Amino acid sequence: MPEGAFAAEDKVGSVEDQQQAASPRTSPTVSTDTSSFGEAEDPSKLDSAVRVENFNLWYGKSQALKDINLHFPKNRVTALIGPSGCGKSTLLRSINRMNDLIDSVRTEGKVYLGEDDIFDRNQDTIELRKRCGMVFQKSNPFPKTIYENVIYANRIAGERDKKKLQDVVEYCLKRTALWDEIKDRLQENGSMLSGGQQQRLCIARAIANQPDVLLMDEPCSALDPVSTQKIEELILDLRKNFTVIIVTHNMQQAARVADFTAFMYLGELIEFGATSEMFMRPKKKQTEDYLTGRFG
Amino acid sequence: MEDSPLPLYSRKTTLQVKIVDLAANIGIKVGGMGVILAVLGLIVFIFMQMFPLLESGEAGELGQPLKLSADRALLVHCDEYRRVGLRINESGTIVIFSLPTGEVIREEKPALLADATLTGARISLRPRSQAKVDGVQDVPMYHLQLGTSDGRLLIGTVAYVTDFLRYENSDEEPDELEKLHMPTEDEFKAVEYMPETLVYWAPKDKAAAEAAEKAASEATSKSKKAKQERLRDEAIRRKQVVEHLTSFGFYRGVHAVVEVTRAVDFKSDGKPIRAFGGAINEAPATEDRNAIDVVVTGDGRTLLARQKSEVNPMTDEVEISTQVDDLTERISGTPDFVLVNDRMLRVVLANKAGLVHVFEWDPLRKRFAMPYPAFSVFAPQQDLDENRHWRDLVNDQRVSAGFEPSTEALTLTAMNYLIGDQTVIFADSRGGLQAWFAVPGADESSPRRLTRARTHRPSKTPVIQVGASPVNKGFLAVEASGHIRAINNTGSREFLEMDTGGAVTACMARKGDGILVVGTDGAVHHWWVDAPHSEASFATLFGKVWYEDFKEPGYEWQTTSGTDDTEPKINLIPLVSGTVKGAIYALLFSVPLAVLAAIYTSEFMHRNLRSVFKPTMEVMASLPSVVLGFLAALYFAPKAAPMMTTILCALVIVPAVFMVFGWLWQRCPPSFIGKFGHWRSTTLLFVLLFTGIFLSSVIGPRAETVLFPATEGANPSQLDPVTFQPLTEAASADLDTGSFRTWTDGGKELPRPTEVNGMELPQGWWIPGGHSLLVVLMTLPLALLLGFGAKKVMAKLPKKDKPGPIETLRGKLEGEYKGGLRAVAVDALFSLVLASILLGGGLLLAMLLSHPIEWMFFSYDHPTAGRVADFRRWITGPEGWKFEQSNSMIVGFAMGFAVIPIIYTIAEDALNTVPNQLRAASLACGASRWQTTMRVVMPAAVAGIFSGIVIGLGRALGETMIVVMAAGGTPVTDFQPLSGFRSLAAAIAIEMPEAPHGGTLYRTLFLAGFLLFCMTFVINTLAEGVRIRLRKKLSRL
Repeated sequence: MPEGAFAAEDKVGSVEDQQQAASPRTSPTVSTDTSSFGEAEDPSKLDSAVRVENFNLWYGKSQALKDINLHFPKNRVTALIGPSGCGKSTLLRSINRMNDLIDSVRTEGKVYLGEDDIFDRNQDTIELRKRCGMVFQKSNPFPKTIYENVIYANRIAGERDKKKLQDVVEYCLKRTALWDEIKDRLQENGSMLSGGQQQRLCIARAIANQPDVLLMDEPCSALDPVSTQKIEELILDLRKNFTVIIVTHNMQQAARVADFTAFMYLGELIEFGATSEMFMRPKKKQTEDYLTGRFG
Repeated sequence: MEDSPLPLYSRKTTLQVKIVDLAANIGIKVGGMGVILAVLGLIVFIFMQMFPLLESGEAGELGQPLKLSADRALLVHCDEYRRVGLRINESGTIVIFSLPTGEVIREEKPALLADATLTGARISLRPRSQAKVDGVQDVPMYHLQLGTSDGRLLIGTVAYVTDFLRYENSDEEPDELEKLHMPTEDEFKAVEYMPETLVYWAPKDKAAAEAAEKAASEATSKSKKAKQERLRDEAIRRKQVVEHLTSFGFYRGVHAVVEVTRAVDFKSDGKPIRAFGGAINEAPATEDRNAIDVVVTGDGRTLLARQKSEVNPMTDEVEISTQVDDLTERISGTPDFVLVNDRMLRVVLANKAGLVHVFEWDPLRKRFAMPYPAFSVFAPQQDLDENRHWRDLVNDQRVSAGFEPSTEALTLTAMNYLIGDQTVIFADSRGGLQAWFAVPGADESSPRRLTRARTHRPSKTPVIQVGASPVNKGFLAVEASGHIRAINNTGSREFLEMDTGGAVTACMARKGDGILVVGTDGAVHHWWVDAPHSEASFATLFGKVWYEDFKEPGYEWQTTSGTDDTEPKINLIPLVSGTVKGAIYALLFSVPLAVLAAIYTSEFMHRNLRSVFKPTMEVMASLPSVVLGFLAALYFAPKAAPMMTTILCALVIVPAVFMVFGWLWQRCPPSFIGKFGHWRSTTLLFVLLFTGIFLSSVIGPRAETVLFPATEGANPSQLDPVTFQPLTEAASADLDTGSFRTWTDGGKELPRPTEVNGMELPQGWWIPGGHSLLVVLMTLPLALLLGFGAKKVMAKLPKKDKPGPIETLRGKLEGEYKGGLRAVAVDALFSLVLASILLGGGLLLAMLLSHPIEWMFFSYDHPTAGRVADFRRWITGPEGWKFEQSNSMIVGFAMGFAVIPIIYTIAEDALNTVPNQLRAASLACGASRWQTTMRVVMPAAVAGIFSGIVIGLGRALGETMIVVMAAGGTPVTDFQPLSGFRSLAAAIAIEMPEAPHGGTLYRTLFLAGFLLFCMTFVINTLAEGVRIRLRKKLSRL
């Protein structure tokens, strides 16, 4: 069947061509989008999805987060930037209490998800995590089929209706622009995909049970520029339904995708504001130094 | 860079490095190849050890046929070294000759024979008594019977006297010629059998002897020669066959002494004796003697003469009492063949038509009686196939053996006992060979009947003699054409086939290493035989074999017995099944525990605790298995025996306690759970465990009292036969408890009320515990099944828009107290109602189904009450469980203890290698820890866990010490939890020290080892394949 095989390859190629052809068309919209936010919304006037109040966190004896006060506006993309070890990931992981997995962690202060104090003793961490989807730095699909990967959260929730699950898969993969690429390969192992596809699969998995907040921990750091671009487009698309909090080392990325940016340094929040504001006119010297590449 | 502090070294590779590198390279290669070679060598060695088992025997004729006389021979015999031959001719001459040279040493005619000739001669298979002969103590003597043409029976003995001779080579006693009857220990060790330097002195042929002597030692001095001459002269004087045993001066001399001491006249008007048989039992060195002679006289009478001689302790006189029974009237026809067994308890009479009468000694009436009517050995075969007549059967067998169907009239031509006098081989004119032995009846009272147990491949021509082997259950089927087949009866294995060109009579030597055949021309053929493993065959090693004394064919392993009379039973199936059984029980115990423990430590346990727990588990692995076996056999087994029901209950109750608690815990609000930290869950674990154990210890004995009341299991003599109540108050107190052990001590059958008062009672229902046990056991699975079924059906039903009344009520009750303990209580209440509905349904179903199930699967034939369906009695009856203190549960526990650390360590490592990012991803999706473990971690680690289990299985299969010490060692082929077993490894460990080097058992044990190797090899290979496939699937993580 060599002919058939070639034909299939051609088809795949053509899909990719189409996408490559399509991407220049989408980029202008992105630029227009950012330009529309150029007028710098005031974050304090927006509803917050997550609120952090006087939050301190220790790993054993060393303090990783110092008195953070911050709120993440609803249906916006907020980027956390800063040099390595400044506590951005720690802050992100505090929001869905993934830090609980580390034994020596101790916290003080409050973090609110909507109206719920997530560090409350009565707070069910499982319920909490169902409300916060998370995407990790390294793509981590389960050693299951693509199909099962996407509907993992739904399976956890006990969903058995095949029709519904199929719909979930289709919706999520369409949202993450994977559907056209892999709709015929749903029964393949998730790890068979390329790095960028895997990461998008992880995003699809994270949105499959409609979280309120989507936490992204350097989602593109292990990806090539093309994949990165695709994910960035995705983030902008996801903004419509989710509040996105993204940790990134890439300041251009923050500039491209984030409505708001928080700059952290040595466990402290240095500056927070609309991205365009902060990148154009940083208020603090440290922010300016970091943005201009004088350190970090 | 001049001021760089970094030192600069020569970049040339030094010679030292090169040499070390080369050496390491060579060393590693040699070592690696060495390991492979060693393993291959081991396999080759094992093969070499076990291969001779299935090799066919070899035989060859020694020298030329010895043409002693053309007289027709009735009997030929030889000593155990095959040096001296004995031949009894029809004319009455007894010829003693040297087997190596063919020289006639002596030729004599018994004085008692007078002018008559002989019609038959019979010699016992093995020596029957011992006496001092020719100055040599304790010479074993064969029992000889000769039938004469004038109707008398001559009785005598044959003794082969063996002397060990030595002449001293030392200077002190240069001319001393010593005769040693028993060499001392050291001297005996020095005796080395050197067949290539054998020197035979023919007693009358000095020239030949001298020639042989010259050839043997040219360098011998003159004085030495003189001594050897003296020795030879001495040997000639004693008419011995002498042979040189060692170069140290040992000689062995053998000569035969035949004495005919008694003649019994049966007064048949001078007509020749038609057939006879007999046995003798003599106490050594006394005059005590018992003898039976059964004679069919020429005038058609069948007489049984019993003779008893005793020394009267008062008068010191020998008192002889003789009693002759005339059996003629008690049998039909005139027998042509007579067999009396050595223990003098059974007389088998058969005539040419195949009609067999069996007389057994009745110890109560002190006489021989026929316990069952006469039968024909040619009768249709009832058990083995559909009522075929023997003649058709033999012809079928002939055709399948490649012979023409025989048209010869079907007559019995020969019959003989095999060693042990249990099996009778009947041979007929069509060459058919069948083995019959006494099989126990259905119950104790019915007689043990001769039953056709086996048929062998027929001979081409009529068999004229069945010559039993004195070493095993083999025999010679001699045909007149001189074609002789040696067959082992047990496995029906034909291990030799030879052709002597005409045969009159044949005999197998005492050690089974030679065969003497007298040809039609009167010449004696001497064959050597090498067939050391004729009892082993594929059929005996792996198939069902019907052994003597057994009711039916079966798998038996019983390799050693006190005497040669019983054959070694070397069926490997019980060992294989025991090995599998032990491994299964060990894994049943260890796999859940080890895997769950691994999951717990890897996924749930606090890290601090883990750092203590894991090394502790690993220390467990270093516990020597002999210690575990010792503990299990001497401590746990006796402790566990009286509390079996408690243990069985705990197997159900402890997990149930955990599950119920987990279910409650799950329903508790987080505020309640939040109060318990991580460390407390470990405490909780112990609390639950002890609760479960406590509950079992409460419920167990009560269940035992209800289900296995001592009253029913007890000795019936303590009970009133009608009411089944204890007869005395003491018995009542004694019996008012449960006793699982009396119920399961090996299928005790008790009288039942149906037989006692004649009232018709529905079987299976009348014992309250009997039926209800099955109902109890069936309820829970059925309830679960119902639950699942209901869930499936509910899922299929279209969902109603409005919640039903129950749901509304529940929502109302719960809604008000959401999150509170009261909501939990409401939830629990609803669940309990649902659970009891399901259980009720399960119970109803169980009650409906249990009756037919009991009839279908758990019914058995009660000897008096007919077909009985009673689960409890089935499980404790002959087909069910038999309790042994050292049982499979104990071994499973001890061996599981040995296996747990292995499985645990590997499984834990496998779980630990699952990347944490997968756990994080799952947790971030909102999965609980358990969901994460089951859905993400376990599938990723399953390959490692699987290989851990398989390595554990390998260990359990090969485990020796625990099985040896705690399994009881009974080689049974069953999978019951309360009986013991013997594994391949245990059999090797126990029996190898007693197995003679190179013997059948020795080689069989090697075969057992090879089987064990095959089992572990196959399992490991399969496991490795599965593991590689699983790993490939998961390799792209």
